[in-house]
Amino acid sequence: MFPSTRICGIGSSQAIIITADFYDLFGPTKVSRKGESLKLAHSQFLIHDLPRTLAFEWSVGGYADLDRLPEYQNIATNVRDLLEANAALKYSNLARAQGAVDDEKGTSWGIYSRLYYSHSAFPRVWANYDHGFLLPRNSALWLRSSAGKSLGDFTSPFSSFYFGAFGNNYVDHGTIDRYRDYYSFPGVGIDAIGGRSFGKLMGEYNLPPMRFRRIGTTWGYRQLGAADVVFVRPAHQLHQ
Amino acid sequence: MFSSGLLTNFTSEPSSTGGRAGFVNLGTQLNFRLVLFTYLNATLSGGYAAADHGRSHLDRIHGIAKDPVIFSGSSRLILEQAGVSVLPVLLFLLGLAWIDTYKLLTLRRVLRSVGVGCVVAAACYGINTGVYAAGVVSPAVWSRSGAPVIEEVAKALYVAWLLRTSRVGFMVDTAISGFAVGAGFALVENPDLHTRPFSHCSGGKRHPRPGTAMMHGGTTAIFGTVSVNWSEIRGSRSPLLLLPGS
Repeated sequence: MFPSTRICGIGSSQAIIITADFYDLFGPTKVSRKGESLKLAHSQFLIHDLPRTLAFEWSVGGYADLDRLPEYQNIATNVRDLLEANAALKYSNLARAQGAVDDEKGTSWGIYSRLYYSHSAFPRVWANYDHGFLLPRNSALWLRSSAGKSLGDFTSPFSSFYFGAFGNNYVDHGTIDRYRDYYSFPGVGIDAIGGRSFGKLMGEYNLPPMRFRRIGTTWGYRQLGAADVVFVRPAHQLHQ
Repeated sequence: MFSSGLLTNFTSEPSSTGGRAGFVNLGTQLNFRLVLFTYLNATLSGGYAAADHGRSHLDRIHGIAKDPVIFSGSSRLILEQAGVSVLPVLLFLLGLAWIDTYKLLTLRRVLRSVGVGCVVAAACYGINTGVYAAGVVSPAVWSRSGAPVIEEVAKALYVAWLLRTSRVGFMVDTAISGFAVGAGFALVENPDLHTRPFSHCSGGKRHPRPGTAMMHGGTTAIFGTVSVNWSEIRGSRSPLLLLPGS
């Protein structure tokens, strides 16, 4: 989620420095934060039998001179310095037809944990489970569920999850389907809903894609193709 | 198109974000993707959603209309109640169709059965309304003793037709078809809970009735499975074997 620059890496481990994000200029979602940070991250596949994958990821990091929570742009904090540790197990077995624009069926789930440490520890765990059903004409029905629980001093903003909005900007380089993420809740403002525990269930119906074949042109290909296939018989052969 | 429900602070611990709260939203997103040379692509995406908290107000997003109420308060309430009532039935129906390993019933046929259930409900509505208007029987007696019989027989007739024409053969297929008819019936019945003509409506009082919806699906499914079972035991396809299930 954070804008980041990889400063060095060994295998699947890397050190990351959090930087500013150009796309914060376009729209309400801000992923950059005031302050400094450094993170060490590692990820590896436990199963990599495409399309079935099971990945394990962990990271540890530190933040300094913060004025907002790292995850939530609209939640202020008096805590300037912060340590963070994450671990996640993510499974995916998704399938789509040839030429499809999105996954059409399958299962994905993830189990996540995070520990913030400032003046005290704030552990949290959450999980998600998504299942998609292929329907006629390559439409798809998805049921997405997630739930989480946060612990620690309840008066601190670190002990809560926050939800709201689509999560995209007007000009963006991220995924277009962030409304599927657990922290998204379109219809209310960014980080407008908070809670120490949550359960969320989403039903999603993806209509079949429409393809506009007549929009645009392939003139470049046609010219090259025509030159390839046209056979010009020499004039003297025609006379014969 | 998507819709989601969010429940926060469902545990009893204190929280700085308030007590237990529930939210629902309904939204849509349209993506227009331009692809160049197979791999280069850009996507123009627009979305809109409305959220509701405790039925008190609707919030806006991204500067689009404030309080975008689509339905009037009463009709929205009815639709919400109908959704609450029918959603478990539809989920159960989907579950039935999903766990059926033979997969002999296509989704189209299941949806057709749901549609037949809707038609049956509309027909029963007309019959009951006619009986009430004629004044032959008191509404209290008819809603208790007459309307349920009409409704159950009407739903069972479709399942009987499926069995007689060999469109379904296995018990699980009959159960799915029967449950689908009942689900379709409940789809039409529940938005009109406050009207008299249906048998299970308590006069004037509107509240979600998922139990009634499940009952509609369950009775027709039981009729179908019992009928198939008797046919298999007796080795006959006599219409009389439909009576025990009734």
